[in-house]
Amino acid sequence: MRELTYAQAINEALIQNLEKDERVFLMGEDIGKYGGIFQVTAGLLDKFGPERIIDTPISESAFVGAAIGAAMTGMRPVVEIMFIDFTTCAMDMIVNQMAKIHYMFGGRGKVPMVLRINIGAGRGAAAQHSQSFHAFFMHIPGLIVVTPSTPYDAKGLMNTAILDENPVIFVEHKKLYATKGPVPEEYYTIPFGKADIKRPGRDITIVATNAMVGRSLNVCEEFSKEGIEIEVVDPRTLQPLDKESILESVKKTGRLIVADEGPVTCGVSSEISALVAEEAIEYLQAPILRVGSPYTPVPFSPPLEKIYIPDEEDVKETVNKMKDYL
Amino acid sequence: MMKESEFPNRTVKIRAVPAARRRAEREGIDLSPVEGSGPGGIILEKDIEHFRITQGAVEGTLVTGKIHASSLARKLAEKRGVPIETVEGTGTRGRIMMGDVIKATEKPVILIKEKGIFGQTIPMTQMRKVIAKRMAQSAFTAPHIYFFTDVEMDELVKLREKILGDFEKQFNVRLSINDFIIKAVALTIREFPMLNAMVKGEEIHVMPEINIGLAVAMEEGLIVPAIPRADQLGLGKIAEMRADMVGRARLGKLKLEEIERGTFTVSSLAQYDVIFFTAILNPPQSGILSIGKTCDQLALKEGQVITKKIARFGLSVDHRIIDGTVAAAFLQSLKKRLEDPTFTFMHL
Amino acid sequence: MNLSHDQKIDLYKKMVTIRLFEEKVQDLYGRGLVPGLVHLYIGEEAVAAGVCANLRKDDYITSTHRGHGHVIAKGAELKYMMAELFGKKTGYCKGKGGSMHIADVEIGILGANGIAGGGIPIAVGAALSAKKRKTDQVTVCFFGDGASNNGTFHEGLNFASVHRLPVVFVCENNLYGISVSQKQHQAIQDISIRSVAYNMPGITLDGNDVLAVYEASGKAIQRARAGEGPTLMECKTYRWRGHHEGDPNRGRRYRTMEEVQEWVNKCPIKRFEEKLVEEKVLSKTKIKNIWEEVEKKIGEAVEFANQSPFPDPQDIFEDVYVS
Repeated sequence: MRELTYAQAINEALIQNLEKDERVFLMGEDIGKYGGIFQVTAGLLDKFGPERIIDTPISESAFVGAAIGAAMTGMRPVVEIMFIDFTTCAMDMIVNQMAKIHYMFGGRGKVPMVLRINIGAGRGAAAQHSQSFHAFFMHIPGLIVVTPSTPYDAKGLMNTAILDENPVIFVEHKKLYATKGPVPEEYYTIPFGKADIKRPGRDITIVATNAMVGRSLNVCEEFSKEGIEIEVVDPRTLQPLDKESILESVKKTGRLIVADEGPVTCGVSSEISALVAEEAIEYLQAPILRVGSPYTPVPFSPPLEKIYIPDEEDVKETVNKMKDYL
Repeated sequence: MMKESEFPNRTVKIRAVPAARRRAEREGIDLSPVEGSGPGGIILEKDIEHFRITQGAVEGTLVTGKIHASSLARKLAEKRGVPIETVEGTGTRGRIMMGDVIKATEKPVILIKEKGIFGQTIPMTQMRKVIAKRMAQSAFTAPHIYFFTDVEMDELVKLREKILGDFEKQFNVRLSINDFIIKAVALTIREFPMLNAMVKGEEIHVMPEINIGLAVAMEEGLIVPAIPRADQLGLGKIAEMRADMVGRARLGKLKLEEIERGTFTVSSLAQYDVIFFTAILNPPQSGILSIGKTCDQLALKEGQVITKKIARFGLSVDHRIIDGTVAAAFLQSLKKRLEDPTFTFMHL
Repeated sequence: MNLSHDQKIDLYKKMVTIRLFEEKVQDLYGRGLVPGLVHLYIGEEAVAAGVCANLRKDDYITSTHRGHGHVIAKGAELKYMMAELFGKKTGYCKGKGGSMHIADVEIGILGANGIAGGGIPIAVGAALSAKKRKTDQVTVCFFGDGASNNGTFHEGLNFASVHRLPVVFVCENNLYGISVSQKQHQAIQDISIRSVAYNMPGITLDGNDVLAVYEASGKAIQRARAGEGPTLMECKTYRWRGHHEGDPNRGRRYRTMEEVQEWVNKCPIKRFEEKLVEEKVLSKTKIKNIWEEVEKKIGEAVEFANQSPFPDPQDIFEDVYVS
């Protein structure tokens, strides 16, 4: 099968949707002429024209809000916010409008739109362009939160996101855009709320999101040599969360590590840890361990940024701690 | 929030991972003897496996100590006069619930005295079930060895006769031969502490106090209330307590604690035409004394034919911790005490 | 407003400093010696230099992601700036902020800001504070044409005008918000007309004429200092390079090289230089000396940055909270 980058996979999904559904249109800063700050929307302006690929002014509240209004009245907008950090400029629109409309209106109104954002440090973009607070959106009822980790998952999940009747926060990762993987040419969807066992194992479960999936997979080989088989579970969507797959894996291995970029405090890993402690505590052979960033804003200086990012070394260190309970 | 160290009387908690705890509960294993190999000595599930293997044929140690029962169950049991330990628990992990007590205090459908009993299948009462379980447990866990000796009861009988009247006036209770035996056994145990011990895994727990239990036969089964610190009590006190507890036992008004505290049991069938019998240890105790009927027997004394009052005493012990010589010595010492009561029962 | 001989030279020197600093950063970044992101001010020097020449040390400014020019003009030291760009411990932000977040509240720099329009409400706050403390400090708020469409612009200007705050809003209209031209992102041509909506004076001027900038901003700052309220100043200018270093071919994706050249020909430094030569304030030798002097200073800054250590690993936890 041919390989595409994560950015190209999303690009292809967007193209296939723009082609088959005229209700779909894009909005965002520099997505047209420039092709998007990470080139995810490259070539789309030429292909579909300025009516469907709109370069917006720097007014997040305005264009996210406009997308909500458009979605409520029959369109299927896919909006890009350049970095998750900038969602703060549109927070009222996201939290008070997008998430609550269907509920508050008793079902008399829905917001079928996709909001594309990206997380992740590692490009020296400093504190206001590198945070990963996607957990925040998991905490807002009414929002769907999707976190693809591979090009294959990204295309399939984007297709599902555009079809879905609910507002979807599509969380991409800066460091994943250039990663490559096999992607089918045809249109396909991946259901929400269905985790993917990226690697089966029997000794330790790692539940990982976004870039942490690849980082976790990278350490598995080494531990396999020691006879320790790690199972890597990629939830793919945080809301809805595939609880069953996670619990099944933990019941099998009895040992859980949760890896998610961003500080562990109130993070995605905290939620998953609590769930497991609540519903499968008697299966635990060891305490639940979490891998994440330190509790600081993202520092600029390269050596500090490197420490900030939870990478292979951090995953390895945590697996080593878990070994004491094998 | 108070720290662990601020609770002075709290015992050290056993650290174990949840999966290990679940395994232990399921298999009835007491975690205290299990060695943990996890960080900081925490018990892992594999440590329980290991423990079971090294214990050999033993199907896990008896879960000693506290009987798990809800507070409602305990209250009801006390109210209805059923010793809580005889109630079979159907709650989580064998916990005794109020419903179980209710069930246990239901009158048994068929009494043993009824004539139409032959050919019938009788369900076991709750109490019988518990007794059956514990008897089996004891028999198959503790290797029993048995010892017998004939005790000349003449002096003891004479002594009792002599003080009977005054005793009753002072203590308001009729002195029984068993009272003497209880005291004598307690004093003898002082010399032989192993008879007051209990096996727990690989440890021998020598109990701090000598509490002699006296087996009381009831319609439903045996009950064994214990006289606390019998070695330190005067005969009068022993008699008082004995009378009180036996009385309450017959009425079903014993407290659980009165049964649980026992460290050694005395079982008498002296009122029946039974010369001697072997008794099964009352778990988790390590020794039990069985007393047969006192009979007049012919004996020779300096060429003369005399009669002696002979009672055959039997001693069963847990061979894991009590060897033959110890048991024999104990029995010998007890015999001596009973045959020379004046010295024994002088409060020296 | 008449500038003295020396003041004119200072102004010129300031612009040259900004230009050479940015060119040095461009070079270093291209060679991979400066990490992260940089947004260069080349071509817009007159605005920062002209406005800040009117400010006192205790006046405030808020800047943007394209802030090197503003902070240099306000008096930031080159070596601490360079160290910060390198991510070194000795930088203004101890290496924790980088190019877009350079700040020194002591000299009135309330920070460069990575969020478009993020500095506007903050500037309004500083002006509010000055008014409450009854000082005559003035705040200058720099922002671009892109930010003028953001909610913070409208909320900020409204708030400043209703409370008659001592703030001067300086819009650097360089005709693009990253890749989106002004024509595409707003329906108006002169942003200054928005001042009417907020009942404050608004002027548009040639941002590449440093004297014009100096004069107009001087008036506005005077107004503010006298307690007469805010002003909106629009300076038409142009950035010669792309939005950020890495924006391909100086922005060729969204603008023509002809257009770029047009503005290069209107170089603010060249224009001022020619004027000063004409007025006999500068000579060829003097010019050469100034450029060399500035080069040297920048070289020292780079040296300082190179010699400085990176932060220690445990520094990552420092300053999350005030201890």
